[in-house]
Amino acid sequence: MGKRLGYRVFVGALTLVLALSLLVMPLASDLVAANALPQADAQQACVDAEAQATQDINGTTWFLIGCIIGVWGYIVAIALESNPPSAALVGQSPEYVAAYTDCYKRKAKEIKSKNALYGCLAGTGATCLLYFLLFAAASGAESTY
Amino acid sequence: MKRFVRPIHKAAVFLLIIPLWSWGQTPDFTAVASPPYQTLQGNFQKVNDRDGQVDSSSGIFFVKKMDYMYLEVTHPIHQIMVIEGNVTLVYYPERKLAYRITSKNPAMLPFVPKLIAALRSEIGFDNLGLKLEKQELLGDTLISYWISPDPEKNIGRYQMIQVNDQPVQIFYTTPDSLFASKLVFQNYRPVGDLILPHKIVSESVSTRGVTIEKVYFSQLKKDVPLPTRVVRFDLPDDVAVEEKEW
Repeated sequence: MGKRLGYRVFVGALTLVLALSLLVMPLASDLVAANALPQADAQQACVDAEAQATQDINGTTWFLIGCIIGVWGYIVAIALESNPPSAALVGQSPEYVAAYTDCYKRKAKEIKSKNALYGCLAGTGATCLLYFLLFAAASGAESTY
Repeated sequence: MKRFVRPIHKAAVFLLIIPLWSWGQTPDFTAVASPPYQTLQGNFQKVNDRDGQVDSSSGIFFVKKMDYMYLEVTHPIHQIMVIEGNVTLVYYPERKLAYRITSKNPAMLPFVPKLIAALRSEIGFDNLGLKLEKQELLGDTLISYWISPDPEKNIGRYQMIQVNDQPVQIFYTTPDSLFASKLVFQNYRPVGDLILPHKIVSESVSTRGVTIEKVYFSQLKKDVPLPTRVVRFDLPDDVAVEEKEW
């Protein structure tokens, strides 16, 4: 009798656990997915924004600007802004919009300032080398006289 | 010696810097000084495919010249975008949340420049600073190639394919061939005195992958007065506005 009752309790408990798991699991996964969505949106927005900024901004141009006008090129690179691509925000969630604008701005500035800085350093190096060669040539010419 | 070197150095800087501001900047072939309409409105459906990841959105848009745009997205989220000059307002009515995004340069309007690009054969590439390199006529198809008139200012090459005077494709490649984009115009129908495409497919291919965007237009109307709620759009008082900058 006790064995039978124990078996019934075990089967009942198992059924309850299975039924609950069937009911709760999809709800829980929906809840997890709903909470994860804004974060996934923000991550995707950042990937999209960085790709768009890389496509929009020509790094070579900023390198040459930095190379020629030196530190002014770097300052201009930080100050100058690109035309914002508002089409990318159409139909997107608030989380996506917030992350996209931040990431685009950051990446655009990074591309411009980094390339302008490298150009500035390359230009300064080249100018120093030129002056050094001219100085060496002038010294050599003076010593021959 | 220094007396000679310094002025030469400075002169070289100024001579080189002038062309550099424009060098490497690709012209926007969708740009136009004066659009051939006062207002334009219609429904849109945009389908994006980024390396196989597809998403779509649809809604209605109203545009006044190239100065003001009101765009209301109904799917997949209710969103209202108002673009005027340097300010883009993105408003979510259900969440009572809005972003006011300001920029130093005017924001580019979605969709509209591509519609105008379809009129490029009438407007011409000349005002973009391009010159006709060559053209071929194959039956009713005219293929023209456009480049910069300045050989030192290599900005890439444009190819326009027109069938019966209507552009069906504009293809662009950068000088280094690392980026290429293609605009395909389909389903031409009259809108007022204009003939506009009702399906525009744009494809961009870069080292990062392929992006395909398809925009379908319906019920396009030209020069119809815009509704008051569109022209004088105001955010409700209970909306939280977050200021952002590009």
